[in-house]
Amino acid sequence: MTDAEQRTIDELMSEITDGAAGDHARRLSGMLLDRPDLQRYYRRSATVMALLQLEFTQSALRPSSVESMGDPLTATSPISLRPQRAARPLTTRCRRGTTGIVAAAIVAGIASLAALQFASEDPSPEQVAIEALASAWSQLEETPRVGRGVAVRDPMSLELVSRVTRQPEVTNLVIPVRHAAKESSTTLCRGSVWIQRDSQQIERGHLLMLPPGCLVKAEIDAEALGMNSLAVVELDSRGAATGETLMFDNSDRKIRNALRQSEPVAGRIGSFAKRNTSGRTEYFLLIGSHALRNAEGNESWYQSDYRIQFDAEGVLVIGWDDSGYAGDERDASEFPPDRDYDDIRVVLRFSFPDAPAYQRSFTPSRHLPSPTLGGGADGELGIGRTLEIPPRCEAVISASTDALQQNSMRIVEVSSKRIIWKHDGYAPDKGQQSGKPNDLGVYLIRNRSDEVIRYEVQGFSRRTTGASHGSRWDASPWRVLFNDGRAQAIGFEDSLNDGDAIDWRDLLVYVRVFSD
Amino acid sequence: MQLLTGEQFRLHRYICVLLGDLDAASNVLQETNVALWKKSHEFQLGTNFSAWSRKVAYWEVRAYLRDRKRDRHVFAAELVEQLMQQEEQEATDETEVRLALRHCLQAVSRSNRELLRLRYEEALPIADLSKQLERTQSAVKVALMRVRRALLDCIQLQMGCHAPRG
Repeated sequence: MTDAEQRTIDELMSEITDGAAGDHARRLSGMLLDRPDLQRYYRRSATVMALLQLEFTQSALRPSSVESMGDPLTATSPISLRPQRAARPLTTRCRRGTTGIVAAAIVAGIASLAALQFASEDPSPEQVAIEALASAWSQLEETPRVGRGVAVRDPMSLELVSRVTRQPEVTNLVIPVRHAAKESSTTLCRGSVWIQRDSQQIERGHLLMLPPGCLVKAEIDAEALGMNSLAVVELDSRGAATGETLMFDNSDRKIRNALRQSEPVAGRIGSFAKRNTSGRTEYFLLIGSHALRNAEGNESWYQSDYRIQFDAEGVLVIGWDDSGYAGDERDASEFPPDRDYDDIRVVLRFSFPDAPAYQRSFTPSRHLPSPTLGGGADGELGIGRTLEIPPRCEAVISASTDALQQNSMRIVEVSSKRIIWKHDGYAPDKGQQSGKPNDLGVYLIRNRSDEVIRYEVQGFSRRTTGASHGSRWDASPWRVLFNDGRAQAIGFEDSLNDGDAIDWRDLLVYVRVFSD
Repeated sequence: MQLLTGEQFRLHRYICVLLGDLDAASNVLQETNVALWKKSHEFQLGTNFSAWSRKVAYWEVRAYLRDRKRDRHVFAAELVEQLMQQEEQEATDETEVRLALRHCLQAVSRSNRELLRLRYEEALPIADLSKQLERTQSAVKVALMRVRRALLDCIQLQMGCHAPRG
């Protein structure tokens, strides 16, 4: 096939697809007949055209606000992001013009997920809606074990999950369901989706629900040495995959960092937003995976276990751990788990943009979870990293430790010197060596004021070995390991005098600021 | 029905390849779905649904061509037969191509993404696109052709250079 022939095929296909009537099809037909090489090129071109049409007319995941978040699409964004498009307004409109009825519309929309919770109380629509706005996504039961749910064996769904996890064939998905108290039907519900493979492995992903009218904005960050990925798979109401997926991974950052230094790959690796304008609940399965290299350097993929790290007032944080799937002894022995659950993490923020103002007027907490100490200006200042939370912004702060010594994290409000949160980690004999996680929690600060509010993130360590073993906490020096303006990683070092042990990661605090 | 739902985008692509015309492919897909529904009792669970549905689709394509035998807007039956045979011999992994396409769409400029959106999602004819974008119809067609070609090159690069990513 010559370049000229290729160009002619392009032009004729363009005329057939985009042009006016003519004999282009006949000409193309004559050109392709008995020419397998030209037919091969034509088939590929036609495939692109067909799939383009499908992508733009049938995709369900619409990362509409990627651009509005101010982040350009990059190679590290999800590989399946469609072009950004404006979010469409809700198709369900209030025709009767009262706020209460709008609330009822929302209630109707969320009925499928909130039915059990509210079925026996018959509260007013307003009450239900306000409650639902704040907690519909967070008040549903987790499915704790295999066997409680519906089994999905749809070949396409299983193949898709197998592909996005890069692991052998999935034989079965068990999707959590709930039975509505006043109905005989069951509906999918939020919780663990158990993924069974022919290797007899049983792993889990997390099923999210998006009620009608709900907008979710998600930011995905990674903090890992190895390859980690997150897949988002849309499921229909029966639990079968719709074919829509998003994939995020830290591969490009990994390559870039590997060229410079062998440091963990930290930072944002993608984002997506989805607004449910369908009038029915939508479902998304989140699955984390990671790659490990064996002694020969061959890369194998494994599924990562996850933990719900934060779940309150419309903010859900899920972290995945790349130490090997919990319970997989083979992996655990080869790669001792650190269970930090920050190797890849998604922060999901839910809202109902079209809800009436009064429904959004509930006062969100400024600090979540509640401060660990009961007030009092007992915090020391000038020893940690100052955080400035701009007006109308909120910050999600996560902390983890990976050290021989015991490390503590404190967050102090500068204006009051009040210690808002304090987590003293675990002594080595009670900590990771006995299976305790290195995860020191996730915290949320909301600044609803018109002024900047300052906090100080501090790290302390306590020697638990050697002559200086004792109960004294010493402030740890810190260093900003990563900062892109919206997110920053602050590393604390507990053994500055021990050259071999300095890694600035004995305590790691990751802060991401959201502006809306 | 579950099998059929999962097979739709594969059938759509297959018919589009055989006909070379997206609009015609959409119509024939509808006919194929009706035929599949009517013939569903002939399909035996446990056998290859993809192969069976493609066979039904092929016969619907043949019927479409037969009805338009003298139409210069359709491919010759001989070519369709050859394309079908090549499809059988050189399987296309639609899921893989689709994932590669999504990856490649990220590299498309904002203006071209908008062009694709208007053309495929809004289904605007070239004349309307020309007015909206204040460009000549010829320029719009060339721009669409180029972006599709760039996507094809990118997809082939993705499929050739990377192990399955999704």
